[in-house]
Amino acid sequence: MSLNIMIVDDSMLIAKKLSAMLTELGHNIVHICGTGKKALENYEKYLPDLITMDITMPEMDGIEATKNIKTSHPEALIVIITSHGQEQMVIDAINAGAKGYILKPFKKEKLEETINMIMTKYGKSSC
Amino acid sequence: MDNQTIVNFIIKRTQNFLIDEANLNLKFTDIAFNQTNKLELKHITAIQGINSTIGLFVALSFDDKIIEKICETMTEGLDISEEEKSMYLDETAGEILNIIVGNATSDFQTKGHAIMISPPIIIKDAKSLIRHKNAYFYTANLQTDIGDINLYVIGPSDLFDQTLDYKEV
Repeated sequence: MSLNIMIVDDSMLIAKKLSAMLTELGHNIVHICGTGKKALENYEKYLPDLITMDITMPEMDGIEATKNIKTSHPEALIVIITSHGQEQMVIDAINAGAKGYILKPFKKEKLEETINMIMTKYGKSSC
Repeated sequence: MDNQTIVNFIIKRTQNFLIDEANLNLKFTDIAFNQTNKLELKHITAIQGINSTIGLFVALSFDDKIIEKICETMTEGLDISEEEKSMYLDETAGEILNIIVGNATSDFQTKGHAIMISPPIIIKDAKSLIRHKNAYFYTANLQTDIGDINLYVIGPSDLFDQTLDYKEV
């Protein structure tokens, strides 16, 4: 299944790598933004099937952005992609409404597996 | 947890990154605490703050050849123009530090408290940093076949701004 995906990461390097991997996996990148605030502003414009969200970003971090997007759009599907390995951050991300958590550095296979898991469990076709 | 233990975790994560992710041949790591009163930042330095019960800055300072080599590895397969190369060198430096420090937070986490790290910033000019009496410097010089990386852990963080200049009191 081809998904419309929005990438949220302040690193152009990671955004470009993610974009290449997701495109190879057959998905469309509808928008890339570098802050949580921009993600919040742009969610409604693009209504992506899935968001990949970094945590450490300027202006608004990824946990806060996830919380805010989920408040206004409970149907939003968000996977956190971050270097934070601490348990508390995973708990905070899940509590904010994220459906998956990928630790950097990561491989394409891990990305594919996590997206498939999220879409099987929470995707529109699973309702 | 004392600073030395935290620094050791960060050094270990740095070594693992250089070997496992950057595929570099790490020859030697020289570690020191407060044995120097002056730090020399190289041409490209990435800096990130850690804020929890501890307040520290971590800096990675790269020889040009090393950051160029790691950038090549990390951007393999990506379409990058000549004009973008310099930007991606900076991005690589920031992302290396972000991965090392972010991954290391799992080594010194405390239950119930998330450790926050700041977005990495990049300093492009070589500069020196002199140690004042209340500051502490931990340094690790990591030597590879193609050049050196200096890892600095500097604190307490409230003495410095994010470019490692002393704050005016």
